[in-house]
Amino acid sequence: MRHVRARSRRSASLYVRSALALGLVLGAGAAATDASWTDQELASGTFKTATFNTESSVDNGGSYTDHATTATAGTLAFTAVAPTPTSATPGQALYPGATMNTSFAIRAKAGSIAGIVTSITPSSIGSDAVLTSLQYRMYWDTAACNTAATTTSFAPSASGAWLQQTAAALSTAPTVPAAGIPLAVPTAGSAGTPVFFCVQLTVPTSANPPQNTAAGSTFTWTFATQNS
Amino acid sequence: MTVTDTAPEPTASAGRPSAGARASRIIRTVLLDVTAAAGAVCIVLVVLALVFHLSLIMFRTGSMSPTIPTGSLAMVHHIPAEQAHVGDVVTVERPGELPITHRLVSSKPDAAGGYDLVLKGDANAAADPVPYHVTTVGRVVWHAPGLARVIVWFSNPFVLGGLAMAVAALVAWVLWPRQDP
Repeated sequence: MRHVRARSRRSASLYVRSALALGLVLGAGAAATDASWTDQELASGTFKTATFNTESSVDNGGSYTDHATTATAGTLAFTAVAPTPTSATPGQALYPGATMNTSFAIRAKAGSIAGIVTSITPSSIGSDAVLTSLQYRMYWDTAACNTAATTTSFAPSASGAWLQQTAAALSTAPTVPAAGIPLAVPTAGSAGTPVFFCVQLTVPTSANPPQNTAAGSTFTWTFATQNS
Repeated sequence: MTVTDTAPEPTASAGRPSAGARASRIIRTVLLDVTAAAGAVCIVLVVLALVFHLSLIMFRTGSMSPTIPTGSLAMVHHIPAEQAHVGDVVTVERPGELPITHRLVSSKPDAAGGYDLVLKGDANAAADPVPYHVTTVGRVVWHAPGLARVIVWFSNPFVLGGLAMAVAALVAWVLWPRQDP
């Protein structure tokens, strides 16, 4: 009698514990199927920064490249207009009474947004005898510069404006309007309409620069641009 | 649950069980007790989860760091949206996407009878750009770092299947009819 009761109690206990043990599988399975990932990626759009980049031309709008650093600065080509160049007074040599024109064009590159030219800063000319004897005038225009302009015909069209109307020393910074000079936004796939900076250099007849400076003197205008 | 076996009284004719049989019975008993205890906890948790609408959330990204780092496991309590308080970390469902779990910045009822919730991750500089339109949210009531990996491991069919077979084998071993001495 005692034997039988002991056996059945033992079996019941085993069954209960066995059933509870199976709960482990239930729990693991429930946790595995119930748990879901949460994520923090945002539903907002992806923001891309716009590109603003300019390129410039030193051949009156013929070809454009990046002239972003002093090392890659564009070298201006001068056209002597007065007195009429001869073989004795060629190209880029200056002398009292000489007048030379040059142009510099800036445009927004393809894919860029619109921008403005905010300032034009002359490099220091120090006491360089050649540079201090030079004077310049400057205007901007959307039409290409007339590189053959004389001192009287050198003037902006209705779509441009003076930056330096009266002849001034190179150390005088051109007066850029506070609103900047607009660089048009390019249409898709092409560069923007360029802005031409027309420069006329003169050597006053009163100046007395040193003669025959074969090494030449270098002067740089830095055109600052920003997106608008 | 910890009822111990009432061993049959030894009789002169059968003699005492062998040392090997005794060791085997002790191992069986300990294994079964441990497994049964773990299983009982699991059953209780599953019942609690069903009764109190609890579920588990695993964190795949770290926008709630350092409170809840990537790889954390959290238990969320599903409640009506109006019971969520500003400052609670809540999980909101998104149609077609994984849910978002961020801290509640503001909540206001909308015309459709739900709530528009503005959420922000603790590690994010700004709130999420668009409010979430919800009627229920999961409020995080408990979280622990690193446990998502354990859940993922259990989700592996081989692991879960192996666990099931191991428990079945233990039960079979315990209940296998054997000749008591």
